[in-house]
Order: sequence, then structure tokens, then C-alpha cells
Amino acid sequence: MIFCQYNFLQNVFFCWFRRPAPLVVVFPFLDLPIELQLLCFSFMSVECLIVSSQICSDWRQLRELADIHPVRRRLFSLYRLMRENPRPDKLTRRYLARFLNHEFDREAYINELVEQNPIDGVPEEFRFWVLEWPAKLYINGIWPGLPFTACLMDTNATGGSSRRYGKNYLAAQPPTLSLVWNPYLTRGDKYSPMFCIWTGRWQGTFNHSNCKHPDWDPASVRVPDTLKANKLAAHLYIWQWECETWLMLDGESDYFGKVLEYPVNFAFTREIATKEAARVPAECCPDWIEYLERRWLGKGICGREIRSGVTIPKWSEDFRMYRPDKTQPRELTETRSRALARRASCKFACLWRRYLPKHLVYQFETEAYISGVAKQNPKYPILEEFRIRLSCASTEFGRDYRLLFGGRLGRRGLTKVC
Amino acid sequence: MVILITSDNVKYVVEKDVAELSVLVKNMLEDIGPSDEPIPLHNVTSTVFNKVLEYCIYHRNDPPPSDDDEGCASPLHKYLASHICSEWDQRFFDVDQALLFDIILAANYLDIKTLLDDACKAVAHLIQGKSTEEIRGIFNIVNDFTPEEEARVKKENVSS
Repeated sequence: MIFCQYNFLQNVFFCWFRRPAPLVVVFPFLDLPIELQLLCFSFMSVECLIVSSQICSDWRQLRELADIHPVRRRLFSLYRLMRENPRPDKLTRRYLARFLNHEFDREAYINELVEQNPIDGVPEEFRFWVLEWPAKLYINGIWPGLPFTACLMDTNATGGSSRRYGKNYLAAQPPTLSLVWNPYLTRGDKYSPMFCIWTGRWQGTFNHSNCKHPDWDPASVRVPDTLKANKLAAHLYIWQWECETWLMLDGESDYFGKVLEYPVNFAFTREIATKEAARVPAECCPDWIEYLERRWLGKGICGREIRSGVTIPKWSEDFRMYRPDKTQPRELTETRSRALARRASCKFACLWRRYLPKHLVYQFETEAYISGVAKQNPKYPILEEFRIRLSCASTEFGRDYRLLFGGRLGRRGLTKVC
Repeated sequence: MVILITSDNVKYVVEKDVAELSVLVKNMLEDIGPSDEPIPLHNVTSTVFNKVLEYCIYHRNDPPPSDDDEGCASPLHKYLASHICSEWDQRFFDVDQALLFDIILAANYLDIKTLLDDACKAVAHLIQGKSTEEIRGIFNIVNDFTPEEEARVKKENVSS
């Protein structure tokens, strides 16, 4: 019996040792002739080029020697710049981990823009950046795969001091070009296609009811035929030149591919808040990649400076920009109603003290808002506490001004009183 | 018709326009003139040549690539040129890595530019989304960084 067992075990042991090793198929890259290795490198995307620098010393040399697309090489240089000037920010990482959309379809995003501007398309630098730049290396929160939100202060939720102050219009889905009237930037009076990247202003920007605007005279301006056909997809934007960043997409203009950025109070401080203001040249970066370099180094014109060690208030959070919501409205339960009320008053109290410039004048139509909420949630009556809290938040600011900001509630019924 | 013999002595009878996608074969045909002599392909085995032939038959009607086109190509074209777009091509290059390696060498030897470019794109595509260790594994690359360099590389990763 023992003998049999011994034999059996011996056989098993023998078979186990004689078992053929698993076949590992590898691609002996370094056995290729050097010119073929270089050819492979010339087809690598930006992400691959970044990783290639960490493989071995041969690959580092190959990357330097290969005939790489100039835009890819510049994006790789941008990565190097970031590496040599690191700005570690734990909050940014946390924000990224929480909000980055890994399902973001890069090609669909670019196709959407190209469809709206089919003749000139989008600049190569921007195209390669969207298609190949690693999302986790986003700069200042400028990335289309992040939420379409406004970052108003340094908090845990908003992503820390390296994230840029303002609204991330780049992330609006679907991306929509704007038609901007600015004779300085174009040859002759016409509306040019531009792409809004960022705004640092509080109020809404895009004027959808274009035909009612006094400046809008279809006979006097030339709208490209391609855009006329796609009019529904394009906004008509009436210039404000106030803390905005634009990517110029008019192929007839010398500014094609340049990034135009206007500082805070650009128009007002120079007393050019008139129609002629449009002729004032904007500060512009020659292309998208240089713009990103400037943003990384904190040389931006618009927005807050990049710095670390900012005190982080715990009460605030990022709030989503208003978009027409086609889904069913969320039920307003008693708990949620209380939470909303608390948040509304809390936001108001903090915001007007610290962040809102005093000359901004808004009135929040409390009743209109409450009736709007009640209409969407007929099942639950509005709590009296909620109503009172909203009303209490109305405050007098001097003689002519009234201000109330209801946080994420505030987009509905905001009107200017002046 | 053109007769081609691979290194393992397998004979192929190939239509002339297909065979002439290879610049090597085209030049040899021009040199020897009209003849029934088989053309030897010393560096290509029949396994690899089957794949090469499959590619050439599928792409026989494609316009020939010219160097002048690259200078004036549109940005979109340039971008597409760095990606394998056709589904057929994607399926074609979905082979084991040893065969892909041989296809590259064969395309280089036979001087078939489009096949060589597409195969190199497929190699570049292998790296996409892989970690450093995975890439070293795929390409059988030994990490030759010194401990100091390795530490620096790790630091770079952290900072990014």
C-alpha cells in the first residue's frame, strides 16, 4: 500500500517537473534594426512617449533620435516642463480620483467640434492634446473629461490651489462653438467661430436669443455658410471680454489657433466698455501648448495665482453649472429640503463676505424660485423653514443694490437690478 | 504571373501587380526582364509570407504612398496616418508578437512601405495603456537603470 502510494506520488512529482514551461511570447524589440526601432517610435502617441522614458536607457535615446510628429514632441516637452517644475497638490489628486471621467470619448469630442467648423477644423495642438494627453496630467483643471463645474474657492471638493478659479466651459457636453463678433480679430465685420475654454465671471455668458440683440444684424455680418447650416449647434456670443479664455477657430483670421485671454475687469479698468472695446487686442498665446505651459508655470493672466498652503474652508463644495436637465427632477424630501435650505443660507453668508465684488448686483427672486421648486415636486409641499431661510438671505447692499446668492439654487431667477 | 520561392522552399505563383507592391520584387523583375525564373526570397519563411501575401492582395488597389503627400497632408490626415483605421487591418495585425516581429522584418526586406508602417503602428499600439513593467515584459527589455536612475524615474512618476 505504501509502495503504491509512493509510486503514485513519484509519478505526480515526475509529471509536474516534466510539464512544459508556459510559452512566453515576447517581441524582441531591441533585436530589430535600429531604423525600424526608430520607425516604431515615430508612431507612438504622447502617452507612450511619456512611458517610454521610464523603460530603459536605450529607449530614452531612441525617443530623442526618432522622427516624432512635432506636436507630439512639444506635448512631451510640456510633460518634461511639468516634471522639472513639479507642483504637487494632494487636493488636486483627490479631486482627480473622484471626478475624472474615464469614459470620456476623446474622438467623439473632437469630431463634434470639427463638425461645427468643418473647413478650418481645430488646431493641431488642441487636437493632439485632447486625443493623446494623459488625463491625469491635466493642468489647472483644464480638461474636457472633468465635470462641467465652477471652481470658486480652494476646497477639498474643488481640487486645491492648483485648480483654476472659474467655470470649466471646456467640459460642457456636447462641446459647442460660439460665434463671436470682434472685428479686430477678423478681417471685416463678421462673426467668427471661437471656442470658450474658461470664464472667471459669475453670471451666465452665452446669449442664445441672438436675433434680439441690438448689435445683431444678419445683413451686416458674414456668418460662414457652414455655420449657418449648423446654427442650432452654435451660440452667438456678444463680447464681454471679462476674465475669459477663448480658442480662436476662424481660419481666415491671423489669430487661428491662438488662445485669447482677458484679465479681470479688462474692459472696465481701461474704460473701454463700449462697442469699440472689441478692437482692443487681447493678450494671446501663440498656440494651445504654450498656453498650457503658461498655466502650469502660473503665468496666466486671468484667475488666481497658483500657490500652495491655502487655508481650506470646510463648508464649501463645487457646484455644477446649470444645464437643462432632461431627466426627472429629484424628489424633494423633507431631509433634502432642510439640507438645501441650510446650504443656501450658508453659501450666501460666506460668499458675499469674501468673494463677491461689491459692484455685482443681483436679485434672487425668492418667490419665483420657490414656486419653481413646488411645481417640480407637487407631491411634497415646500417646508416653511426653507421658505423663511431663503427670504432671510435677502440683504440690502447700500442704496440701490440688493444681493442674494443661493448657491446651486441661485441660477433660477437671477436678475440684475440697476 | 510571378513565381516566388521562400527560404523554406515553398513556391508561390503570384499576380504581377500584387508582387510589385514589394519594391524589391519590382526591381528584380525590371532587372531580369520577362522570364519564368523563380525569384528567391531568402529572408522570408512561408508562414510569414502567407501573411504578407494576404496583406498585399487586400491592398493591391490602394494608391501608392508618395513622399510628397506627407509634406502637404492635412492635420487630420497626419493624425489618421499614425493610427490603424481600417477594421481589416486591425484584425490582420491581431497576431502573436513573434509573428508581428517577423512581419516587420519581412516588410523591411521586401520593401513594402505601407505594410512596414502599419506593422510599426501596431507595435506602437501594443504599448498603449501599459505600465512600465508590462512593456518590459512584452518587449523582453531588461531594466538597465542604475539604482540612482531608478530612484529618479520613480520620483518623476510621483511628481506627475
